[in-house]
Amino acid sequence: MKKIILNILAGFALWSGMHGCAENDAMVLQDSNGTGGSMARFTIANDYLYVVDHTSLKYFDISNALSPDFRGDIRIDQGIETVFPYQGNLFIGGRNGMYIFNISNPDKPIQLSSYSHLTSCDPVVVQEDFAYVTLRVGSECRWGANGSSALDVLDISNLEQPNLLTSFPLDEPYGLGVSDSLLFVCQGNQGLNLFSLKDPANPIFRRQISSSFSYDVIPLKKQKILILTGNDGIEQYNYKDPDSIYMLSRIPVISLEDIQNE
Amino acid sequence: MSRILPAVLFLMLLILTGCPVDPAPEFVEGEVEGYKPIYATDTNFEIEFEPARELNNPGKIYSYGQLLLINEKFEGVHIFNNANPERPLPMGFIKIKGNADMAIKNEILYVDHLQDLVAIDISNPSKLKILKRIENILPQNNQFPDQTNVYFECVDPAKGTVIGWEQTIIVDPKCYR
Repeated sequence: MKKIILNILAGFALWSGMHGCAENDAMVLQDSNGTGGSMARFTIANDYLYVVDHTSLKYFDISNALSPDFRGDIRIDQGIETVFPYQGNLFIGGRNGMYIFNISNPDKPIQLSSYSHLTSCDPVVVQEDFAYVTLRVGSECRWGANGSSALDVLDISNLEQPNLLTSFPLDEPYGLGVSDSLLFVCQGNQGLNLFSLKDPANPIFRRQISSSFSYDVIPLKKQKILILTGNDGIEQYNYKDPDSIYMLSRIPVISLEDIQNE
Repeated sequence: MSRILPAVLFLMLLILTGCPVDPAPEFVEGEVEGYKPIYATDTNFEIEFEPARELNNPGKIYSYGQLLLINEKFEGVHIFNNANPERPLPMGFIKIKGNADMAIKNEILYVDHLQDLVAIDISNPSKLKILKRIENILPQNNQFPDQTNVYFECVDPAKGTVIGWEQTIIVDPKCYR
């Protein structure tokens, strides 16, 4: 047992050593906000930080970096899980549906609409006039709900009236990410799946990119780099050429359970 | 007494949550999918910069310029220099008990720290500066899991502070929400 732990520690030390200790490297940081995955509960739009908890949307004025200021909260519904900002609106995912809030007045988010689905979990991403929502039926979702997991495509050209266009049955979808004509969907045990959005209203399944249990993705649209988190670690892929997406690196996960079980 | 206790606990939970919950299915005996509390292993809840460590239970991810941040569920945030995505370099770990979420703007990292929202200056990650802490603004997650309509292992305060919940197989659950 001790030996195994030592081996793992040595392995990690070697791995860190190989990669160098970059603690004091000068970093080039960007002077704006970053990008989270579709499962995020925190998001920043302009000078505001938006946080969704289980029932509400909370917002903070962060224009004064030294003193972020809690400005208010709005009750939405039970089972709120994710928030995705897109062009002056927040798309909020929850157990009972998707909610759209306009934040053109950041201090006063206004709910424009909600789209209800009865059997779901999980997040939403948006590109142009389309929202992509994954619905996962599972034990932590609505108890005893009937229905199946799916990828729903909504027409949101009228933000006040989202309209379901297609529903694509899936087995176990988690997070997702959209980048122009590509849609990446994490499918739990079925890994990361690639869909083509040549017709944005009708995603077409192309293939599996990674087979490890995948949970969420961030597509960095400018660099065409995909960051994937899953049970095997944090993997990064180059997707400049959708026909040959390849892995750049993997930061491994050392499972505590594995250590204990051996 | 032992028969009444679960019912009383459930009733208390109903009152505590204050919202309608689907009626609990019968409490099953044996193994069932549910949630169990994760107790803090130490009592130091300070936010601290620590040397890089391996990923054990990664959660959410966040990309900011050349930085890649990876949440270690309920423990804190790994920081990587991701200037070259072929070779992300570990820079260190920010210990934040109970943490699950993060966002960054202008080199300020915003995180959940148990019930608090905290703003941290990470312009020099190894010399963190806590800029502001807004206390008790985030919901308590130390009495029951976020999810509803689930079984969970009842919290035992004697075991310490609950910093998170783990989905797993539990045995003879006595709590449900």
